[in-house]
Amino acid sequence: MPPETTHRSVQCYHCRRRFEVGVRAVTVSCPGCHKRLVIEDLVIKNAQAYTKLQTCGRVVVQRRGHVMATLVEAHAGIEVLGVLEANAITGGGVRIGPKATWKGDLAARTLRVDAGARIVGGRFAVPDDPLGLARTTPERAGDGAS
Amino acid sequence: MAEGTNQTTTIGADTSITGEISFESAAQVYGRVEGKIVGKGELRIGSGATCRAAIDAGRVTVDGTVEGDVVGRDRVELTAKARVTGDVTAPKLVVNEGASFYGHCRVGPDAGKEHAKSVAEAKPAAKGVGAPTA
Repeated sequence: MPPETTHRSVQCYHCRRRFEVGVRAVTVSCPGCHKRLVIEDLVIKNAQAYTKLQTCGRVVVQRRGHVMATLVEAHAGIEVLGVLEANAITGGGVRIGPKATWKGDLAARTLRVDAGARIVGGRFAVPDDPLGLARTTPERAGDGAS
Repeated sequence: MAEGTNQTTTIGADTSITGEISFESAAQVYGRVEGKIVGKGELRIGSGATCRAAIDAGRVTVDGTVEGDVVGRDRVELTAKARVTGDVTAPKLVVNEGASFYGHCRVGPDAGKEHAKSVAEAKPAAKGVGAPTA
């Protein structure tokens, strides 16, 4: 039986420091810049406006969801089934569903667009490593790192 | 072969073409093309193919490398091996996971119409530019 995973690697979206957190963590303070980080997946079910929508997890915009933001940053990926109007960067994959609308730029590792999606004039860069995830190695939170 | 049946034009892997390729029903490219590819039917840029070309066709499937703008009047599909650098315009776009794509993207029912409109508007202007002056 494989050992149970107790930690996962995340990257601070303020200072870009990488460290490990418990798999059940929802929010955490960055050991580098001490700012609060959202770790959990964000599920948008209705119309929401943000300046920055950031998480170390995934952003999921459901069919009736409508996100308007200047920046969406989701380190584990983005799934859009509704409407997303923002410039987005992610260290994971992006899925634009069959009835989804995407308006804005995108930098992502992988992209999947289903037939029927609507994309309005964004600049796409795929694959990209906008977060530099391939360059740094994580450290354990609370390991005494400076 | 009976007249009227669908014919597929194939550009082989050891073929290199510079200029404009035009086809009616279907074409497959496995070699190198520099210039322009225009057609009404289905175009497949096969695995290993390299196109430095502007592409305008009905249905475009990219399995190789394309450097240039891609316009699909009906649909554009990028397979997992596709490498595209250029703008994509199509009513329907399918991007399989693993595809590489750098460029602007216009996808939706109006995307093809808007592109056709902009091309139509650009033509008379281009004529005007090239017209001799008294």
